[in-house]
Amino acid sequence: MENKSIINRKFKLYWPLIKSLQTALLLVTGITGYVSARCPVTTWKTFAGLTISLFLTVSGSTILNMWYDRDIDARMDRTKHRPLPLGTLNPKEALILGLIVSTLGVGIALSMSLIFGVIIFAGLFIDVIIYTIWLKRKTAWSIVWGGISGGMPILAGRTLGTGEIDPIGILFATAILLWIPTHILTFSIKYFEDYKNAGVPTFPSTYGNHRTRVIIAISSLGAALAIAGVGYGIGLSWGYMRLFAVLTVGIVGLASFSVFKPSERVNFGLFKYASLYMLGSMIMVIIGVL
Amino acid sequence: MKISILSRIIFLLTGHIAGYKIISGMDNYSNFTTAFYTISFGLLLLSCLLLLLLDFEILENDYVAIISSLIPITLSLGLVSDKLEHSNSYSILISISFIVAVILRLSSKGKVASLALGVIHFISGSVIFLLPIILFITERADMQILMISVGGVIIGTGGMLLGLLKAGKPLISKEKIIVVFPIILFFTTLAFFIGLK
Repeated sequence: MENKSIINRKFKLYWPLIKSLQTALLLVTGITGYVSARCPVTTWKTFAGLTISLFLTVSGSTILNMWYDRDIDARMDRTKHRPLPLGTLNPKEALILGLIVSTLGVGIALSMSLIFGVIIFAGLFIDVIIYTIWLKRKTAWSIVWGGISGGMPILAGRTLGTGEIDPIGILFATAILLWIPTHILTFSIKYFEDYKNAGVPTFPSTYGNHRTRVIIAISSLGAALAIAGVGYGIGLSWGYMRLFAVLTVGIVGLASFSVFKPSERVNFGLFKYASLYMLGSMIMVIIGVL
Repeated sequence: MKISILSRIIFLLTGHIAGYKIISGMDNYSNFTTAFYTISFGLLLLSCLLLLLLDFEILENDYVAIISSLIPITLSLGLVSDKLEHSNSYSILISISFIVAVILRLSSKGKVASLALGVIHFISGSVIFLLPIILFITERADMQILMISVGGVIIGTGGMLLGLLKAGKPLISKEKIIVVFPIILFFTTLAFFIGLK
């Protein structure tokens, strides 16, 4: 009984460390990449391995980010209630947890396929070492590396299905890379003061809101073109391509609108639409190829 | 004003119907007809998504009047190009009228601009309402095509309620309009979906 209560308490403490929605979205992209390959030999073991290894690696990298950024998080209103800045969780415990979870994830991935494991490891390395530890506090352009690591799950999934890194996989990863500015930059506009107080350079603080919005609009269009290329490349039916075009009009329209008629509401609407857009695109690819 | 959970569910259902139509309900149409129907159902879908994300305040935006007028315009263009042999005259007339209305709307906010959009709504709305009835009476289409007329009446009612509210002469209160608007959008989309099946 006491053990059960300890486990419950630990779970409640650890769960906020993994940013469940973001992890789930990246997991969906990885599964989409795999399913898009229309792999003829799909077993439940492979599918479970893909899901578990991706979940563990993405969660592990998020825990390590939270561990490293706990000082920044403590200075931001949005994040100061997280377990590490609040002091409800020991940093050493979080570091050990992050390392164990990440190692497990990469280990499972490597045991399944060398190339799959290498891509998963690359995603972890780029996210934790290059993005979080090296560049995040130095330059606003660090988000490019965040975007590259965000594209690794879908590339890994696709590679596990096809057995090689192919142009569709690269295009998939490019779509995520170009979508990430829409997601992160709208967020950094909304929480401008928070990032400023924490001393984290962002596009809005470095280049101003207007230029940031122009970049969001251009990258949204780029992401849409990359996903359209994927849809065409994997042979999605015209019906799905039409629906995809409609959703693209929505994101490009909102992004353009936020350039010419900027407002807090439109900016956050774009942030939410971008997540919905990516999730919708992934679901369309999955249903479209099944 | 916040959107209730029930309204959110209705918007989601409406979006799914419109999305389903776009994906799998247009196999037997010409390219032009498919494009027109995709735009009209696409706008219905996007309306639901944007209302879900940005709340009803989006309806107060000046551009909404222009963009929402594309729903009846493209639906009527799709109907005409699908059901009538000589559709070019209508397509040219409505396209030019729309461009003129947009220019007027963007260059001034006076009564002329509102009137121009009103005329467009009247012409395209009449086509959506009358053409299915004529096609049914002349036995050129099944009875279910009448659902398009029904959809036209429902969305016309919604448009009128919003128009009167914006003009400062509301027929019913803003709170009531907000409650009935998701239902109007749902039944409009459903009626168009069944009518075009």
